[in-house]
Amino acid sequence: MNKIKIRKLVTLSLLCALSLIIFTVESMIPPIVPIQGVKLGLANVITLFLILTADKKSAAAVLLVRIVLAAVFAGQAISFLYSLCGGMLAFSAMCAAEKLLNGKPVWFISLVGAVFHNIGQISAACVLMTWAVVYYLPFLLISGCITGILTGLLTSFTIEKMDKAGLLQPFKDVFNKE
Amino acid sequence: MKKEYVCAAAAAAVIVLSCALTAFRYFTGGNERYAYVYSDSVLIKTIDLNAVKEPYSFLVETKDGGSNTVEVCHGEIGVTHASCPDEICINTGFIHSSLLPIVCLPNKLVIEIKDSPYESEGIDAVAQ
Repeated sequence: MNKIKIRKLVTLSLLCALSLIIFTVESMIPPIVPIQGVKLGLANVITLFLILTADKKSAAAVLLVRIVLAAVFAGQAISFLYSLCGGMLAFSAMCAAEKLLNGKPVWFISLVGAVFHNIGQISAACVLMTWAVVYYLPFLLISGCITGILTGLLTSFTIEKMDKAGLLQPFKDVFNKE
Repeated sequence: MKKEYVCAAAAAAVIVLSCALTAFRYFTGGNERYAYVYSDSVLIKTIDLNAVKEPYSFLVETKDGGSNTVEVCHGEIGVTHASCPDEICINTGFIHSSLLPIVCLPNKLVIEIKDSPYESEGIDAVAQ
């Protein structure tokens, strides 16, 4: 019982560190499109992976810790609010989509997450700034669809490869045998 | 298998709808000439872009030390210098229509172009 708990804690901590690394590396890439909020969102791979293979509570925990620590590392108090709104909305939407669709297709669940992440960010920006930022939404929805599909495919490849290598089952065991 | 098609259709619908909305705004707009400069949600300047003869620039500073240099030309407005690291507001370039406002998230600067010289009542009033 206790052993499983420690294993779970260690696994989640590792994944948390991993998503922070992904987030930090991604933020070093200079923005390609001159529109605020357009980004790849690679760290979402970890969240989606946890939703699909572990349980939603763990996924939410990792996501929250990542958002808080990312804000600490990036040092911007405002961006914390945007990522929190976007992240929470995206997480809820992905959970709903996963339940509705029974976990497949992965790329679509990721797309739903990306689109709702953008909606959450824009809503936060509307409240914090002016209504004019709503005009960004169509651009962000298009970019969200593209990046969402890309990160979703990445997630499904990860799960597939882990399964083939026999690593997925031990990972799932950590979460199921509690 | 069928589920995949429904999902693909939904994704395509979102993209097509966004494109249609942008195209609609692109073709119906274009006559706007009044630039509104907001800093931290407060309207600090309104400029009639058609009345600008000589290009000039001014500095917008925030409470915590951030700054943006805004340049105004005849019919156009843009940001030429920013204290933030990503400089997305500079890369947005000069704008001349309401299609896409210039936004600097770290400094909370918004430059928007509208077709009326006065701040309209309604949603803007509610937002502030």
